Amino acid sequence: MVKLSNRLRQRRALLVGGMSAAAALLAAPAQAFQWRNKVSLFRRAFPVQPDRAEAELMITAILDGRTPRPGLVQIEAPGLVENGESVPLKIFVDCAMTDEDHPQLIHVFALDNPFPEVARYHLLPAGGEARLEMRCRMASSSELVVVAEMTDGTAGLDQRHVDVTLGACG
Amino acid sequence: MAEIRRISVPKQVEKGEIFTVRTLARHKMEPGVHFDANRFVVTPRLLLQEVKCHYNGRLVFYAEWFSAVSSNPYLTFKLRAEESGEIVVTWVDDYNVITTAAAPIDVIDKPKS
Amino acid sequence: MGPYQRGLVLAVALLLLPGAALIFPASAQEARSGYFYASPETQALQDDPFANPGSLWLEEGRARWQRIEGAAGKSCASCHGDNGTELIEASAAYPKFNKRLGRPITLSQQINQCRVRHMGAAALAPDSEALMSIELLLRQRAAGRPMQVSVDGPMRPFYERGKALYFQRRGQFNMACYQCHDQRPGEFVRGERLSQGQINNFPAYLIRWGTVGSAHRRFQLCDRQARAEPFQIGSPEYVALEVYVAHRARGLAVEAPAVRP
Ligand code: HEC
Ligand code: HEC
Repeated sequence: MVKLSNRLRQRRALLVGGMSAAAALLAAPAQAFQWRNKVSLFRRAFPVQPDRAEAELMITAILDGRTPRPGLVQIEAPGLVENGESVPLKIFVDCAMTDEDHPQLIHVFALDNPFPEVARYHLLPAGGEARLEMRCRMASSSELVVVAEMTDGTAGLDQRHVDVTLGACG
Repeated sequence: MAEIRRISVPKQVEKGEIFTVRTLARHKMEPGVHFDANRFVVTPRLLLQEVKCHYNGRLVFYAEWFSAVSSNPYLTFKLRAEESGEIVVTWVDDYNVITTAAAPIDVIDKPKS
Repeated sequence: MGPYQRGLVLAVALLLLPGAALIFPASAQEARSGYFYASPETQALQDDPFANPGSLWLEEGRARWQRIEGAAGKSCASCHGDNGTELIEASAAYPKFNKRLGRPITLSQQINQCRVRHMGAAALAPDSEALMSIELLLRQRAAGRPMQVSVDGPMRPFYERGKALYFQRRGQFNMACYQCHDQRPGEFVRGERLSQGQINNFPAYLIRWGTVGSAHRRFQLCDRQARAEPFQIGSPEYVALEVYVAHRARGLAVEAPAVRP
């Protein structure tokens, strides 16, 4: 596991407490939910404000001391979008896509979203090429950050600033 | 009627060629934060959490989605053509409701030149 | 000229400006679809037949066209054929005068008329996904044809009423439609780029809604943005307004499925 700072740990503890409280309150069928749903229950009861510092902390935790390899991850996103509800994002990871050299995990973050993690992609060599396209929500103008964790233990990172005219509720 | 899932792959590709799988799902991707002040309720969260792709039964791609994926989510990724068969994409929502879309693919051998 | 007089001249000029716009309404500019004012990303989304989210509603519309519903055991296709060819021209010509009701009705309302009177089925809720998907299908079949709403004969009073509404200042901001859509297309209000407010593209997929909605729902949004009390979807006011706005868009090609921010 990655090292977590005290702050994050505190927030986790708060989250878990809130989660069980909210879950009990709403008496949801427990088996049907995975942990992420419980987080959402918690968020319903106690709205979470965007916290850029924590988003950056999550990325630091993923990198875990590794220096991102320059040029490994290349992303494309418009500099200005009319509506944060739909921001087109293109991701490319420059690798051989062999068993030894492919991105095991690609993380997508929007730093100023209340819930900054957008998606996680698990790629396999069968993909032939690490190229993805998706659309994400952004609550306000901020950075889109993509981190790739490679099978050989190295990591890559790329980011784009996107100006959002109309924010979405991520 | 609510569930519409769609994928597109090329009809025919050469062996070893890398092709694009495009997917589109009709889904609100309700993040669970919209508050209706009149009725005093929060629209409950309902997301597609996972997208998986199987190529002739083999898992070849797997994604986890959170609340910041756009409604009616669009996703494309790449695959390498190995053999003719079927590409199946599966979406799984918060309540483990599974929806799929499938498309056949015809892989031809490269002409020896 | 002292500062006072200068201010007075400015005030008089400002007073005259809206008057000038009344004398030369949109005619000064050529009519342009909202597509023209949308960002390249939004345009690209509309132009991609696979990724255009509106096409999902079209897919539902095609299924609904064939679906048998109601006491008469009929589907749209039973009376209008598999492709609804005879409805293509009409779909670009709504709102249309309905003799039985003695007033114009919108395409949505006509669809519900058919459901209730000819199929014995329940009317669909205004702006429901089901209703929008059928209407979008009808409009998609008419795509590329010019908007051609008739405002002659019995339609005239409704057209005049709609026109009056279009130029009437309402709400907290005391604004009228023409002040945004005739005077300032291309300019930005609160970060949004104004278009001419044409309705050749409705029902349209609005990214902010994440769904397909009618022109009336867009009117409501505009009214809210201008802090005016919106009318109901399908209300006589909005139908009249739609008559005027649709006539204003005459000649513009029907666009469906359209995507707007
Ligand atoms: C405060 C300015 C403002 C006022 C007043 C206003 N609108 Fe709008 N309207 C907008 C904005 C902003 C948009 C979204 C951007 C665009 O397409 O112009 C819009 C969009 C529209 C559209 C959609 C255009 C398209 O291509 O999709 C229509 C139709 C429309 N308005 C009609 C009206 C009508 C009718 C009125 C009067 C009841 C009105 N508007 C009043 C600001 C305004
Ligand atoms: C039982 C036969 C019948 C069925 C079923 C039916 N319609 Fe109609 N439709 C008519 C008739 C008759 C008219 C002529 C005008 C009227 O009576 O309203 C008409 C008129 C229309 C018009 C207007 C044409 C014009 O020239 O203005 C539209 C649009 C339309 N129908 C759409 C639909 C749709 C969509 C459905 C399915 C939900 C449907 N109809 C189902 C009989 C039918």
